[in-house]
Amino acid sequence: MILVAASLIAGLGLFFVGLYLLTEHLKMLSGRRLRERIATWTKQPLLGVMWGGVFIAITQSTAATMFILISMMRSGMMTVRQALPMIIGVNMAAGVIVLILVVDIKVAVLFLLGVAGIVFTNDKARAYRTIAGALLGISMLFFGLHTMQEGVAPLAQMEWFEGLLEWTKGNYLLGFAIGAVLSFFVQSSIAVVVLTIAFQKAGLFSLTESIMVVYGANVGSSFLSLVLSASLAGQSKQIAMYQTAYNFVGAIILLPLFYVEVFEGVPLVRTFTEWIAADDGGQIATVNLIFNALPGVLLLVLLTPSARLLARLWPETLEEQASKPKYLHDHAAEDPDSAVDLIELEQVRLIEFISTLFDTQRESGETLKLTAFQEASKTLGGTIREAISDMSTRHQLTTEAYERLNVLLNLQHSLEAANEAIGGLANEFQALRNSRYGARFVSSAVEGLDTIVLTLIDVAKERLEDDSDLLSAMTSEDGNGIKGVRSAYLAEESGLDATERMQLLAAANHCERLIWLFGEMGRDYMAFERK
Amino acid sequence: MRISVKTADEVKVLEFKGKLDAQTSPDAQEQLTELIEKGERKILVNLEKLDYISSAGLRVLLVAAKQLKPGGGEIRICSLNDVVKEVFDISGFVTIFRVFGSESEALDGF
Repeated sequence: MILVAASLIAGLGLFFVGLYLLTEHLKMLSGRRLRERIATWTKQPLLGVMWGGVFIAITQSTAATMFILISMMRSGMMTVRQALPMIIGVNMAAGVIVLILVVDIKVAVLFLLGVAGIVFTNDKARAYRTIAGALLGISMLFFGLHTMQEGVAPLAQMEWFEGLLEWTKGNYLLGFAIGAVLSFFVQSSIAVVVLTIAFQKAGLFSLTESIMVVYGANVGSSFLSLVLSASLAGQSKQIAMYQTAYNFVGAIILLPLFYVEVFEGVPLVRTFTEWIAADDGGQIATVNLIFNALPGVLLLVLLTPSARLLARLWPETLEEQASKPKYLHDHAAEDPDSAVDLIELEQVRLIEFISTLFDTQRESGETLKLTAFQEASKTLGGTIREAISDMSTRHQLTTEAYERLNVLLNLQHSLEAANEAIGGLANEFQALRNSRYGARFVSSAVEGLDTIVLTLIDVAKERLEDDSDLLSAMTSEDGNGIKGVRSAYLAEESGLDATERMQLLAAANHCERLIWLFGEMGRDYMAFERK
Repeated sequence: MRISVKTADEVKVLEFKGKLDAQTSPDAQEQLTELIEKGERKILVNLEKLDYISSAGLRVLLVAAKQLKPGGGEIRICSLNDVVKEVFDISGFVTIFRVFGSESEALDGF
């Protein structure tokens, strides 16, 4: 049992590392052209359903596919609305797959893990690193699932388990529960359904009992999705909950019908499957197909209201809103003049994020929220850089236009450097908060820096000389009082111990860098204005 | 936060007591703006009894300074405690405002 638990934990760890790698590398791959292609592939809901079926045929796991879709949505490759029909396709096709003897993809996953790992770490293959990183992420995700799956496989051979199965005879709800629990631990409703076919052929289950195990197996995979997505929020949660709800909808429809058929003798699913398929395997597979197809038909019709309900229950998080461009669009680069204006507007948003980042430090000091905002800033920054690059490669620009682009690039460099410095600063702040004087420094630094950022925002939006003069004074060598504050804290009499002094020194250095960057950005904005 | 207002010669002296943060800043801004719109050109803000100032509070002072500038007015600050002074130092406000150690020093020559 210890080995079973260890396998589960190891598999879970691999799963989440794989997911992280996949998301990060999909972000890098997610360019405007790929987004356009995916948008075409999923333009019609039925096309999305078809592509969902292709996904599950390759992955064999609704949980894994759900997280791949979440990663694609997070990286900007698709919207939630595009993902929902794909989820329908994933579930419907999962029903079809049981009908087919599929090749064990474990060997393919191992090869992929090996090849992707070698390419990813090979300096000579740097050009393929991003795609190798995404493939490494996928293979680790599957390897994690397989590790968990193989870890719990011995359960099926255990005597107490076989005894438990005997106990379920006539106890349909227990059969449902067993199917759910097995599917949860084995990570695959498909695998549990195949197991159920084997048990039925061995005479351990009747068709009636098997139906409830199959229903339970499908609902169990939804519990798995629910647990794995517990920490998600916003649009990621919308996709996860849609997947979770899919099988619950099936259960809500089919469980009452099961009892009506069994206890009232009304010919329904069982009668239909006995009529459709003569053999045990075919009957179980048909039941599974019905369970997976029925909610799909209903949910396809209710796609738009479902999307609205999901958006209301789990609204887009601030971080998700922050990572998407508000002004730039995929065709912005076609008009260079307005593209420059749109890029400027997005960069002002990034500066406003910096003020929001200071808010996170002020309210609770949570670095978790800070990290989420930093990620959002990076994603939006990537979109801005892509737009700048698009403009310079698509058009023959005038010298003046290139100079304006150059200023935008300088601003982008400064914003990215500021984002990084804030990350370093937040780490030092977290440590400094433990002491009285350290906490005081943190509070002063947050307010002081935020004041400078708010003045920078004035400059960025209005481009008035007065505001620019104020900002210059605040960030000048003479005006920048951080040096004096640093010296006072580092003095013997400050009451800080040696470790705290080092932390404060590091924090003050980050502050100094940020103040310089804010001043530099202010000068760039005024230079931009004069162009 | 409580704001008391008195007049010393031609200078309007505002004493802030408590915290000047996002919650209390709007009231402070309103009072300062009202004084400036009434024609006051010399304003001294005494922060001796101010425990804490946030970026929102600093912006109140900045807005008042901008409002006074076209009419040749001036806003001075005095009596910062260590905590508030630190915020002034880091934000660079010491180069924008004339900051004095006491009310009498600030009023001298205003």
